[in-house]
Amino acid sequence: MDIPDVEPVAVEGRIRIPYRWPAGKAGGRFLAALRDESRLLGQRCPKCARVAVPPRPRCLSCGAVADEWVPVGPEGELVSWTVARGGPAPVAWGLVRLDGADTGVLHRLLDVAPEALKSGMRMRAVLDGRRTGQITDIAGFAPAGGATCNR
Amino acid sequence: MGERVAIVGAGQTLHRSRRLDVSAPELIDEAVQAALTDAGMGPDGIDAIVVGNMEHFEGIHLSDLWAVEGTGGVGKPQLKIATGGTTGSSLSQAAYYLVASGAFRTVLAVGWERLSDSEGETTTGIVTAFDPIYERPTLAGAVSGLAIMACQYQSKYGTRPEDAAEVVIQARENALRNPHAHLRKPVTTAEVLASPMLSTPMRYLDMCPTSDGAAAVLFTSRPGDRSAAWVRGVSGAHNHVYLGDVAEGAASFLNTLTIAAERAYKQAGVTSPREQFDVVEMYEPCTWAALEWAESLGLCAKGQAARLWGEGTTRLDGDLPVNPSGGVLCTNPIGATGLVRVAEGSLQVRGRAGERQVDGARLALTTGFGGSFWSEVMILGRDA
Amino acid sequence: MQPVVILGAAQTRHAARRPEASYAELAFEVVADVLARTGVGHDRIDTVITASSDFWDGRTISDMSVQDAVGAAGKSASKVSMDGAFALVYGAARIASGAYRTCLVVAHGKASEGMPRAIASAAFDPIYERPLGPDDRVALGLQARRFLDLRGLGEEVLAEAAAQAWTAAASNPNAERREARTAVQVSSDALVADPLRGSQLAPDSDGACAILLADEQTAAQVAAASGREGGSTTVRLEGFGLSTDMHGLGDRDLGTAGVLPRAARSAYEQAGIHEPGRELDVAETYDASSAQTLLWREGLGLPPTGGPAWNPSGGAMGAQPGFATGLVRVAEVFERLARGEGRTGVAHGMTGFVGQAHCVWVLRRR
Repeated sequence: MDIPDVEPVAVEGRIRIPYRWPAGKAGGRFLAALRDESRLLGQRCPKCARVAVPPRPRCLSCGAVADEWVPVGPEGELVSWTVARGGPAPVAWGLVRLDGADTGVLHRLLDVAPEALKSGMRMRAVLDGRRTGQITDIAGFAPAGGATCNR
Repeated sequence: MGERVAIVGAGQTLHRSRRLDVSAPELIDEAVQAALTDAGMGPDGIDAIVVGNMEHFEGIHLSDLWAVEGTGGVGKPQLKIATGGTTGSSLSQAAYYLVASGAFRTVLAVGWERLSDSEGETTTGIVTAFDPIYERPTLAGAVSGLAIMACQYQSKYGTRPEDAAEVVIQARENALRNPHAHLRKPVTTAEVLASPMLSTPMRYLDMCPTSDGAAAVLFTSRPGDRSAAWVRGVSGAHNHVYLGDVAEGAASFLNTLTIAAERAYKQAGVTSPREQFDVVEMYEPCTWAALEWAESLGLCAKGQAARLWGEGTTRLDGDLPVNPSGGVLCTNPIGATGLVRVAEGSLQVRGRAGERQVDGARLALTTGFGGSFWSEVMILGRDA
Repeated sequence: MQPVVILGAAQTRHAARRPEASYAELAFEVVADVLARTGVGHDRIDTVITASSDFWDGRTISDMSVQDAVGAAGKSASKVSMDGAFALVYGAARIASGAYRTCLVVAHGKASEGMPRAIASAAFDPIYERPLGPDDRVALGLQARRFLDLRGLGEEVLAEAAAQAWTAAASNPNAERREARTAVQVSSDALVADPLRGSQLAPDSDGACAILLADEQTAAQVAAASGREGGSTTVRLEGFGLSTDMHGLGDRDLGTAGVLPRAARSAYEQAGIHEPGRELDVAETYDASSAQTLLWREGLGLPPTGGPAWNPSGGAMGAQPGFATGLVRVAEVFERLARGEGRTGVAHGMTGFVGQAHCVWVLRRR
């Protein structure tokens, strides 16, 4: 039987599954302080003194259980930045090391032109006026000196 | 030949329907710390880690690299193994080969799953295992394939639903002795037969649950004076892609289990499994599977499994206890489930299984089931 | 671990789109090819390790869909859900354990079937990062920026590295990108994630790769049966290293090679290499950006100029077929050594954002 060549045939599909991820013991503490007290907390390792933001089950440097909390930020230093231009509008992203912390936080950068971005510049956390206990309670980081709350 | 390999530590979380109290890394950490404590070892003693779960159940891509926060994998070699239902048994085998090869002295295997993260949608994830063009539009997840198998088995041997019910009744009794088990409530034959029909002949209580949990097992070629369960046999047998090819011409639906078991028995010098094994930790996703697969494993003659359970041989105080932990019918955090079998088998031969200990257990058979009816087998012994 | 012999390797012609083939068919293509090249039949394959991603394949248990393509039925098989170079560790270990004589390692990736940016976004921390919507290019941009800042380098070094990769890939028949470009051309490209431009990022490709491993004895038998000179063209895996870094981008210093030196050290130690810059003849790396081309070179302990032939295939900048990318690097080094172009080479694989996990292999011709 002769079978003619055909154009490639494809079946379209989409996997739709809703998810819910518990923040856990350490994460719950961090997010609740952000939501209820507008405070940024770092998790300090009792063994090696590394301060982590956001928190982890154990210190990633030495493995000790880190259950001491210290205030960090709200200002910090821009460790690195990029402007993602794949979407409808460019989005500035940065890694910000909050004052008092040893790690950087990945977040969006606000109120700054791409040309003005410079590693090492001082940034300040801008909190969202509406709190939900999620990382988006931080609206982003803007150059230090500006507003601290966007709504 | 390779190094001899022993299990010197096993840890598990409390497996529950929802572990909302902990994040996934915290859940994993619980199991890892328990394994280290059991072995009397610090994290520095671990040379490499193998970790696994199934990404669609939590919706997290490269979940192994996120999970380092729980596995302790930062700075260490870590491999991710993910093979569906067999993920846990595949992890134990990967850890075994990595140690047997001399590549690493001590390897930690970590399996985990949080099925509550996609609560109610576990089946949506499982359905994606099947071919999107020919099978996915019509399949109903894990239940359908198992129901076809159960139907075939039932029509061949005339096995009654109450025979299958006996499997879950015994499993639930055993789970009462296992603090880690998820379902710890006894059930009766009447309750099983009155539970909703999922897919003939399988009812709700014939099927395993979905759980949150993690397990961790330490494999080493240098057990020293630690209490050890020696790996005596390791094997697996894979299968074809399509369900229609799977059962075609095979002696049993899970022919791969027979193939894998025969290879592992040969390695361990097992010629008479019914007599030689002291305990079995079998991956039975449903009651009917336990019956058919006990036969695939050669624990009894074809069609005789109902008697094995009915006469109490499989009970904790019976001649050949099957799943003293309560098995998969009571606990099923998918990526950990197969590793829990290995963990439980190792605890039995190390004499550390607590209230569910089988007296004097020296040789344990553990199995894993997954994918399109493929199988893995690991045999553990008190003696090297 | 005892050295293991590479009997042969095969890869597809990688492309942006292969709509006429399913990913199982891509896997079949390379399996059939490697068996044909080595003259080894399916019946002599003892065990199979595949590498694939359930998210990329849009299929949980993605190894299930390639079982028939790789001939796994009845055999013991497993899947490493990481870049194929990592899967090779498991494959080699299965042989070195003495349990198997041959092992087929197969990796595939088919970017055109899914949404690479959305899939990458799902690998960020679900609590602290993913709700913000970053993707892999954000990570690559942050890394490249930090790399330049840390060393006080200008963007021209990225353009030069990219031009070198494009030029090398132009003469690689398997590469997706086959058009030589100069640094000036690269620099005029649009920015995708500052400071990276489109042509300084590896493409998203469709492709597969297979490597057939054997123990020494079996390799000698295969060589004898094929009538080839046994021994003179034997290429062995003589050392490997694995290392894993922290997950958070802010937990690491992205301007360094991170934990790559640790993996390289382990591989070099096993293979008895003391001066990689002098002892290695060829190096192939999984560089997802031009910044990584430079970073990984440093992380492998190689000098900025000179040293071994550097990514003669064009590296991952020429084609990036998902989890096959690192295994292709091993295949490229193997082919080169098997042809007699050099004696010792290093191949690098990577999984995760900007080098969270590295795998390094040393290959040597005996």
